[in-house]
Amino acid sequence: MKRWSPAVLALALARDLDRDLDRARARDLDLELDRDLAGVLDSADALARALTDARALTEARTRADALAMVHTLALALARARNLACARPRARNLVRALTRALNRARALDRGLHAAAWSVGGAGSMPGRVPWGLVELVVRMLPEHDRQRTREELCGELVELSRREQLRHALRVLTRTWELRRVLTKMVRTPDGAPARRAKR
Amino acid sequence: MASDSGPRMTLPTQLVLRAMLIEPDQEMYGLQIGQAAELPSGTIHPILARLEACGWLVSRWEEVDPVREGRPRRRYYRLSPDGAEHARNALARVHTPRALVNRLRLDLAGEHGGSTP
Repeated sequence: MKRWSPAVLALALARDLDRDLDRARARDLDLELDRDLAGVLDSADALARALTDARALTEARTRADALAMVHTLALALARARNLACARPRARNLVRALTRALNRARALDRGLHAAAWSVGGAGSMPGRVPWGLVELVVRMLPEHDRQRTREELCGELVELSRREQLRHALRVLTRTWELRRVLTKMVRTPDGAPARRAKR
Repeated sequence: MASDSGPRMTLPTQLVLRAMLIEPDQEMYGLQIGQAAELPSGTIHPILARLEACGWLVSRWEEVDPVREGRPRRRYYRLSPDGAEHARNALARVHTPRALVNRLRLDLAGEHGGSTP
């Protein structure tokens, strides 16, 4: 029996997830709800495209995106379950979202396994440090999230497993301060830090 | 032009600036700066952000192929020319006893509520 590489399995999972989300979106539209599945769908499309290039598996961002999608789907599912109590037609949406969430979780696990299998990625961050970094990122201003996510994930992979957790916890304890600095930061039109004028 | 008022010169900020002034033109990434300043990893991001906001530091993404390197790209920081001058002046104005600096490092390493950077 042929053993598929983790990268191939992750890609297959991403494509399945893409299809699941399409179905969930159809249910969503069927219910004429103004839900925010469109954003998740865009992420799923982008993820599937990125995964067609196996090199993307070494990029911390790909896995962070998958983890963020799990979080968003879990929230959407919770809302759909509440809705299903009042509107029986929403049960189809619950089923579609449950399937998509399970698939996204499997994809997250698959990406983790694939990253381990790619040469040089021997210290991929564990789930807990990764989750803590994602938590920190979510508390920051939106235009700083991607940069901070990439920077912190880049630091995690250079640390031992034990240090990763300490590092992530220390970053977490300083999140509010970082948020305050970033929020007050004067920026150029493209979002980069702008130097303050001389007083 | 870098800010004349500059950041608050807390002890961790002084340590970061001293570390970067050793070779002002050299770029360093976050973990390196933390090690050079002898501060625990994960504690310096607010300091770097504040120094960058003041124009004392500039940063850029490393231009590497993550696959070849086997890791994500790093964010490199270095002192701006104005920033180096301002940092030297600011450090010359503050007088921090060595014993206090050592105690701060121990506090931060032990996570006993270290000073706010």
